[in-house]
Amino acid sequence: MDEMDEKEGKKSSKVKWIVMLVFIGLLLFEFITGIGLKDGQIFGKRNASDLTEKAGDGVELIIDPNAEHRLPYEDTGSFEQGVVITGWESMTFSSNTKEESVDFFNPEANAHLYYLTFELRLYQADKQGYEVLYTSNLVEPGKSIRHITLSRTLEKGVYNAVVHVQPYRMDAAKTLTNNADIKIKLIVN
Amino acid sequence: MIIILLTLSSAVISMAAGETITHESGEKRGSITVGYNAGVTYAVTIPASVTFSDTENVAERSLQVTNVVLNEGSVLHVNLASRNNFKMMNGEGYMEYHLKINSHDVQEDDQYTILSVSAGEPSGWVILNFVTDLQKDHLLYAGNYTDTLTFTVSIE
Repeated sequence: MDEMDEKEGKKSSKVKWIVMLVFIGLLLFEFITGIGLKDGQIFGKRNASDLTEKAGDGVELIIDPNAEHRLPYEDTGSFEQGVVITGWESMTFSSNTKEESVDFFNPEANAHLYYLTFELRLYQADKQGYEVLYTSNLVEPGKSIRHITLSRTLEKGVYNAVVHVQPYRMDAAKTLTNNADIKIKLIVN
Repeated sequence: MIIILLTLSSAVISMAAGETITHESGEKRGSITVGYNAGVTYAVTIPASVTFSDTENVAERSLQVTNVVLNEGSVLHVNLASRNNFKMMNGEGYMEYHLKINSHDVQEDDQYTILSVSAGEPSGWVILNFVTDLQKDHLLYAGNYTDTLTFTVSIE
């Protein structure tokens, strides 16, 4: 009886090994040829020209491999990533110096996309024109300008000013984009 | 022993110099003021560009204001201005377009206010629909027709 069991056990073990080898063989075959089973259907590796689908009415629809996106990726609407700009309500300067502390910051969110430039504009009382007190060069994302030199000293008072923020794309041409005016109260003590 | 006493007495003197100490029943109680002055801050995300094609006469963009911290009672406004009065220009040639928000034409009478966020609201956003009728009557030259938008942020 024990002999019988032992024989059956060996037989079962052999069958397991054979099943395993067949399975490994199938995997290798699929890997080499690209033909396999998916969702109960045989599939194989396909080139773009082979991309054939059957519509409900049986008409074969083929994806044309020569078709290209008509618009650049960024022009496809909601996928475009905008320019992030931080703002303030006021800045405080000293009346007796042209050296001032600011925080003209290009957020990390603009990484690989946009440089920013900052221009501090002092608006005249009639709001028809403005005087430029400071203009930065390109500020990289994640960096900030902390100290600036104004074009002139200011008398004590509260002024209407604007920080004009102009973004530029971080491409070879450095093309400019839409921009922002941040209205602030410039307090000079 | 003398050294230890001197050290303790000097510590008491230094505490008394910096803080208010109340002496009650042998207990020492001090009080300090803990505070934080939050400045007004916010971040605005503006659309970098708006582009139409021959087949698309509507360009949808979003404008968002986030991390908004304002003084109580203040309101943050975002207004829109066009360099060429809502015309995409190429020399003297142009193509007109206009802005719609929620199917409403944004007019000059509105001062092109496109978003307002009140103090206490941490963020706000709006979908901007730029629309052109693709009228080519005024296209004089081939090439790119462009305009530049300025988003003005103010706090009142």
